Amino acid sequence: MYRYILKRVLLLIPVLLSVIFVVFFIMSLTPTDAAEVILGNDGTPESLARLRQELGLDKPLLVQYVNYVRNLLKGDMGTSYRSGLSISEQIFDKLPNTMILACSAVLIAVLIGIPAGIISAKKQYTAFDNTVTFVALIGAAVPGFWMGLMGVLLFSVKLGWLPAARMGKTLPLLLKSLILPAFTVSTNTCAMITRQTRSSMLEVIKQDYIDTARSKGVKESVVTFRHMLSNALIPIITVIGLQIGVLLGGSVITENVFAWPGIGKYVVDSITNRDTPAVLGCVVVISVLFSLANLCVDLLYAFVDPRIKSQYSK
Amino acid sequence: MRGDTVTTETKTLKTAAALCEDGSGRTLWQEMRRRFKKNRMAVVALCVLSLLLLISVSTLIVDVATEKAFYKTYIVGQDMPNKLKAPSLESVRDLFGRDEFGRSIFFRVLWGARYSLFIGISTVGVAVLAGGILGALAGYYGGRLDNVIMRVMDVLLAIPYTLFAIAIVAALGTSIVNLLIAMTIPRIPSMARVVRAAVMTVKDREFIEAGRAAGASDLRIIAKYILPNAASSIIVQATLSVAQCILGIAALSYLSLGVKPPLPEWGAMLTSAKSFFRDAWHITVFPGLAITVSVLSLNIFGDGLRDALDPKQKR
Repeated sequence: MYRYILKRVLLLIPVLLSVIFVVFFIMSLTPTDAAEVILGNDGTPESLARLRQELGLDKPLLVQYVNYVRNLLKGDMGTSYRSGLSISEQIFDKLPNTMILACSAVLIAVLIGIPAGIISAKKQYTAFDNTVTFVALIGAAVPGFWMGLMGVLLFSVKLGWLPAARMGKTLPLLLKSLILPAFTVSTNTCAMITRQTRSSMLEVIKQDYIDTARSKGVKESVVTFRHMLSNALIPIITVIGLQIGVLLGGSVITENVFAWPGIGKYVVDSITNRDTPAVLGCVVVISVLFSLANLCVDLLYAFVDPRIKSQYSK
Repeated sequence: MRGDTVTTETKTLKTAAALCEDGSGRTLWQEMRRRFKKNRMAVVALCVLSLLLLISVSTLIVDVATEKAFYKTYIVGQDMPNKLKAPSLESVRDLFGRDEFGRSIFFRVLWGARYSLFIGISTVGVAVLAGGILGALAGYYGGRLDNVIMRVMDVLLAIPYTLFAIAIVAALGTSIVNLLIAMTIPRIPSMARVVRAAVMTVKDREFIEAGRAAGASDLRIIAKYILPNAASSIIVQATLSVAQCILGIAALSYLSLGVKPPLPEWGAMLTSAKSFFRDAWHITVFPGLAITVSVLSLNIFGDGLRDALDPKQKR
């Protein structure tokens, strides 16, 4: 088991380095470089050249990349062109807010999606099942940000129950302000989890060993959870893993709908300000998070999937 | 994760191949059409999609025929006395109400169909082509080439899709062409995976062997024998991808990183919606509904195609 974990963790290192390189390369395609943005219209060719030398922009891309990674390992992502503040500090200031949003969205999606999928599968073709299937179909098609806007329209503007934007400062206010954005981010994910749970539960529900368990007199709840769900879980975990990327992307957009002070809002603000190092830092941090989340999902497989377990059990 | 897609694709292909041999005398496509027609939801979805295509094309024709006169007056032209006017059934122009510049939301929604549809389809088209070539090479030749291509794809897949697109737009600047690039590149890896998996399941079959024995070149074998057999899974994946793309285009345009106002893109129409919530709910509702209906139809259509191609797969 430890060998499997070690292998996955070691495999992550080249992937992360390559991901950072890809992002670094993309951001280097910006037509105006750092020196031009900083100096604006007052830049003379000489001062531009001097600043480029200072910032290391005259060196080949690969050297710049190595320097960036070296600084990154020390926790330094450079300074923002606009505010002159340290980007890593800015990002780690906002990261918890994004994590709160993303984690509560996953939680909502799992807590609603899996039970809905289970009940739907157990009561196949009933009114409940049809409703769930229909709602999930729509949930997978609705654009997240529009869902958020509709939520604001209904719950903030018409009913006045929930705040339309910004994060609450105290815990009760925070929770209240979290409801709309968290549900917004989780809409698509929740729909996908529901659909996957339903279909993989339906696959196991007709298996012979379920009948065997029932005829042995096993309680229905035990049959559902121990015999059905644990066997249906692998594809569900796969979908959750795949959805984490969708979810992180979704929170970037949702944060902008709700003026939620996370990385997603920071990255879009930075793009508007043409603050390339800040954009680079944000994309790198979110991609690293995404890779880590995928690693967790892969490790989770090892615990759930007996095939992997047996491979490494010696 | 990977294994799962591979087995699904394998199943699709195997049953698809089995269909041709079941003695009914129908070809795979005839069989598929017959099965598809039985799925009423999917047929409705197909009708909606055809309607969208029709709208996109006819609005383009109107633009050309009136030399953009209609477009200039009704789509981007402002009519301030009527701003934020509520929806009414009195005239077609007011059917969905007016936006903050007094422009007809109904007309703008119709004219916006082209962005979602054409950008979505062309994006996926290019991604299928690029991903298809890479996936076919990787799957057919295997070995080191496969390793190199697929590891690069893995790296690209490690960047969340929306963020990847946002980063590309941030670097290249905001324009429709850059939006196309930004939507296409992150789509390539998943396409390459699907095609690779499909190619790998057929490449060792006897008829490929026969082709090779008859002296066909690799290119001919891939193009003539392998890809047609992989087509069904590629088509399904492409349909569902267009749906994802439409969501992506709308999201980026909403953030002002895609199609820019005053162009009537659905996502871009929602950008300013929040400022007018109190006075005009209709600004928010209709463009979003248009996106939802298109994506929903594509998803249902894609699922229907999958079921028609692979009746044995339980959903």
